[in-house]
Order: sequence, then C-alpha cells, then structure tokens
Amino acid sequence: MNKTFLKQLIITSYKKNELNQDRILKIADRLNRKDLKKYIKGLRMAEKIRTVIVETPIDENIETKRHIQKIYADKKVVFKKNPTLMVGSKITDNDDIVEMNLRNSLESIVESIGENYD
Amino acid sequence: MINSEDILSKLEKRLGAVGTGVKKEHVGTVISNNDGVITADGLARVQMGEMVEFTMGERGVVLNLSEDSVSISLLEGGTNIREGDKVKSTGKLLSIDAGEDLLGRVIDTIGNPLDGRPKIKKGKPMPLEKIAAGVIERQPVDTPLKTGIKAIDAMIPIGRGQRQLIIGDRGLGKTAIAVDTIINQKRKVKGKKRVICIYAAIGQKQSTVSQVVDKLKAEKALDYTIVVVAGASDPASMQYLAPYAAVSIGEYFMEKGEDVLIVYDDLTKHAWAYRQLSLVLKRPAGREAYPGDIFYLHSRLLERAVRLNDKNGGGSITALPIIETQASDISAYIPTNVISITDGQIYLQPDLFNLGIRPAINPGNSVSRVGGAAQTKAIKSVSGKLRLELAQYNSLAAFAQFGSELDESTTKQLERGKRSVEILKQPQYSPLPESLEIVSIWSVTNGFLDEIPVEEVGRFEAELHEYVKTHAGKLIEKLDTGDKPDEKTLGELEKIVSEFKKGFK
Repeated sequence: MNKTFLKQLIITSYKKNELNQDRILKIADRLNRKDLKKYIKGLRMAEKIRTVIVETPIDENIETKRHIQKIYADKKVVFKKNPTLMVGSKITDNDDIVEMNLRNSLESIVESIGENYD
Repeated sequence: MINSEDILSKLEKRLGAVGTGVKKEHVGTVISNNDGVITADGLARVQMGEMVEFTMGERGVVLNLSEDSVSISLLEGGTNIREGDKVKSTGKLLSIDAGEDLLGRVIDTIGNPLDGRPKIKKGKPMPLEKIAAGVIERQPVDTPLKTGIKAIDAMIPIGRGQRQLIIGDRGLGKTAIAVDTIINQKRKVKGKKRVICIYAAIGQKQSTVSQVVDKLKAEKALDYTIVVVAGASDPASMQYLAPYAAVSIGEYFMEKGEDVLIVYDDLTKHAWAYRQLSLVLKRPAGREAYPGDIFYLHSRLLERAVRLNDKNGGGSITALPIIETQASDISAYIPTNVISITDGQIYLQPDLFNLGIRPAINPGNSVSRVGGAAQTKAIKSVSGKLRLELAQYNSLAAFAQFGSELDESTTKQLERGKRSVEILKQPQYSPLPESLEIVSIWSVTNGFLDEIPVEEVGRFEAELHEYVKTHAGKLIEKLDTGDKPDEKTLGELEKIVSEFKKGFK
C-alpha cells in the first residue's frame, strides 16, 4: 500500500470531521496485517493533528473551555487534569507544546543564575 | 561600602529579564533506534543540522529530513532511548562554545572537557557549519608558517592561510611532522603574530592521542594548543563533526585577528566515519560505497582555511590535513579528492623511511602551490638550488647503480647529493629556528660538507649549530630577521663555518 492510497483511506475514515467506526471496520477487514499497522499509525497521526490537548492542574471551567475552543476553532479540544503542573497549564497541538507554569519560572531562574555566576 | 539597596535592585532587574515562565517546545516521538541513528516522527519544523534533545538529556543532530520522519544522529549515549520516547528540538544549529579558556585543553566534539580539569567557561557559540569567506574578504598568502623542518621550510614552504596536505602510508611520520610544526610555534618570530594551534584527532586510538598530548605538554606547546578528540571508540557522528568543531574554534580566534594552525589527523578516518553514517541513514552509495557528497565533505571543511584581508581583521587559518594511503596509492579516491582541494602536498614514501631518511619526504612528488611567497628572502636565497640539486642527484643515483665509471663532475654531484640528503634528515621533536636551517642548507649547497664523510654529516651539523650559537650570536640574529643575507653576512657565515670545519674531527 503506497502513501497516496493510505492518505485516501484515512480521509475516507472520517465523516463530518469525526472518525466513523463502521467505515474504519470495513477498511480494516480488507487489509493484511502489515497494511493494517500502517493504517492504524496513519489514523493516530491524523487524530494527533486534529486534536489539541489542554492539561490543567484543576478541573476546567466552561468559560475557559469556550475561550480555548474559539482559539482552536478547526480542531477538537480535549481537556485533561494534570496535578503535576504547578499553577499553570500545558497545551499540546500536534508537535508543539506550550507550557506555562511556576516550575518553568523557577527553572529559568536557576538556569540564569548558573549562566551568570560561577 | 556596598549598598544593599543597589544589590537588590540589580537582582530584581535580572529576575525581570529571566523569563515569563512560558516554555514552547517542538517535539517528536522516537520510532526506532538503529546503530546510533534515531528515526522520529513529528518535528515537522526542524532544520537540517539542528540539535535535538531526548528525554534523559542526550543530544543528537538532525541529518535527514523525510516526508514523514526525521533521522537523528546521536552525539552521546543513546542506549536508553526507546520507541515512544519524546525528542524535542532546541531551535539551535549545532555549535560549539569557543573562547580563550579552551587554550591548553583537551575537549570532545561538543566541547566537553576530557582532560579531567575544571569545567570550561561558556564562550561564544560558533556554528559548526558555516560558509567560507568569499574572494573579496581574502588576501594572498605571503607570511610563512615555519615548521622548523628543514626539508619543508626549504623546498615545500607553507604559508599562513594555506592548505598543505600530508600524505603517506601508516607509520611514516605524518603526525610527527604535524606535531613538530605545533612545537615550533612556541618560537616567537619578531614582527609576526603568535600562532594558535588546534589538533583534531579523528578516529585515532586514545593511546596515540594521549602520547601526542603528553609530548605537547612536555615541550610546553600545550599552552597555545587546543586538542579536539573524537576517538576510534566514539560514535561516527562525533568523528564526522570533529574537524568542523576544530575549524569553528579556529574561526573564533581568526575573527579576532589571530593566526591559527589546524591539524586534521586524519581525514581518511573522517571519510570512513561519514561513509558509515551515510549508509546507516540509507543515503545512496557511490564509488567505494562513499556517499555522493564525499568531496563536498572535505572541500567545505578545507575552504574555511583562509587568510583574511586587513579590513576583516587580517587573521588566518592554516590547515594541515593528513591522509593515510594504502600501499602508497595516491591515485585512490579520497587521496585524489583531497589533493585536488589543497594548495600542495607533502608526500612521505616508505622506501625513504626504510633507508633511514626521516622525515621521509619525497621532494619530487611534494609541492607547495604557494611556493616562494611563503618563504622569507633569507631562506629563499639559500634553498633555491637545493631542490634542483636533489632532483639531479636522484636521477644520477639511479644511473650510478649500474656501476659504470663516472666522470669527476658526476661523482662530485653524487657526493654533494648524498650530503644534501643527509643534511635534510632531522630527529623528531627537534624543530629548528630559521637561522640554523639557513646555516645547514647554505653549508651543504656551498660545498663545505664535501670533504666530510656522509656518516659524519649529522654530527657535523649538530656541532656546527652549537658552535654558531656560542660564537656568532649576532649572525644568528641577523639571519633570524628573514632578510636576504648581504655580502657581509655571507662573509661572516663563511668565516664561522670554515673555522668550525678546521677544528672538526
């Protein structure tokens, strides 16, 4: 199965911007093991591109959810609770991660001290 | 009296400039780890040659960009990297911190100290890959770089800013020539800048590198030398990048107006490391399984050896690349590539080495394309005849083997040639100042050694040097100026050599 065909299959697996289970199962039944692995990997990549994960240390509120949904209008936003984040949040958009928290500030201070003082 | 308010306000200012706590990362996921090359997906915006960092802090450099994945060559460690691990881009191209603190240190390709001494202070980051200075920024090579080796300074002179290849089979003294050249830079030449030396050991045994470092330390040459090591047990990526690290450090000093000498020991192993890396990266293999850009690998490295014009600081980088041949085959792939790039070569021959002629330099096959422009007038005036006389001697010597009777002038030429060959022999780690080189060469080309038995020439020369240093200090100073010796100076030289010869037993 070449890359072009795989791309076509992945596009076909979506219906109204959501993965369609029936279509996926139909496609999966017709693939051999090797192609099925490629197909699954392709679907994961496609989902990763379309999804934004927002991690916060506390439960999200509706205002914040609406605000973030507006920024990423063309993507699916998933909210997760991550207690390790100290006073901040982490947004993962495909390959890009934006992290805003107190730990980063403290790490920046330590790094700056290390660079400027012996 | 220190004002605490001042200190606190300064600290607050610094804290304000530290960062807002927002960290942006561009990440990917490891798919596979094969032979020191990591394949990762994601990292869609990463650049070629960019440094990346893995979860446990290991660093790598991006060497292949494909549609769906990125190939990363590891610079350190990597046995713990597994499928699914995160890799993040640093946003920086591969660079090395260069500074005065590097002098006297032994470091690896990415600047980590290997000599057990304290951490090196952070310097100016110099990119490993850089386009060489253009034509307009350069000036011709016209300042000598003295090696202290008579055969080279007289017949194959090297100038500051030149690329001079040292080529020969294993064990013929290629590294010895380079080390002697570094040791000779200890000698301060009036009116000339100091020369900072960088020795890049690529794919060498650790024991060999250790010997070189010890020798440099013993000769007090390490104080102005930096040793960059990517040994035989280091990853191919480190061996591939080591010469570029060396030239990047050299460029730091050159940009400050200094003269730098870089020894690449050796580029054959460098080509092997690049071949290994390219094959693992699945790049198409060409002749002898080398990748298609093997010429570019060395040309872009050696083009960075340059003599800048005064407007750009007047600094220079002189390159002494070393190539190891197999069975003296200088027409092989890598040797011919590098010969075509450099401004000349010093060819070492095993026959000469086995005959006891050391350094085993074949003056017939060696050349310096800069030539006399890289010599002082002093040495040029005495060594002009030498190369021709040696060439004539070599052709006559072959003829004389047939044992036929020879006329007087031929015999005289043969005897003179034997003594010229003998005078050009030189022990290792004994580079000579220009004045003593002139004394030796002038003595032989003017017939002062014609009556001395060939086997006594070495002793004659050593004792002559001592005699001249003791009895003719002013003459030595005059010869060291580099100016063409006038009649008076030549007269003094003749007098002192004749005096010594009378008393020589």
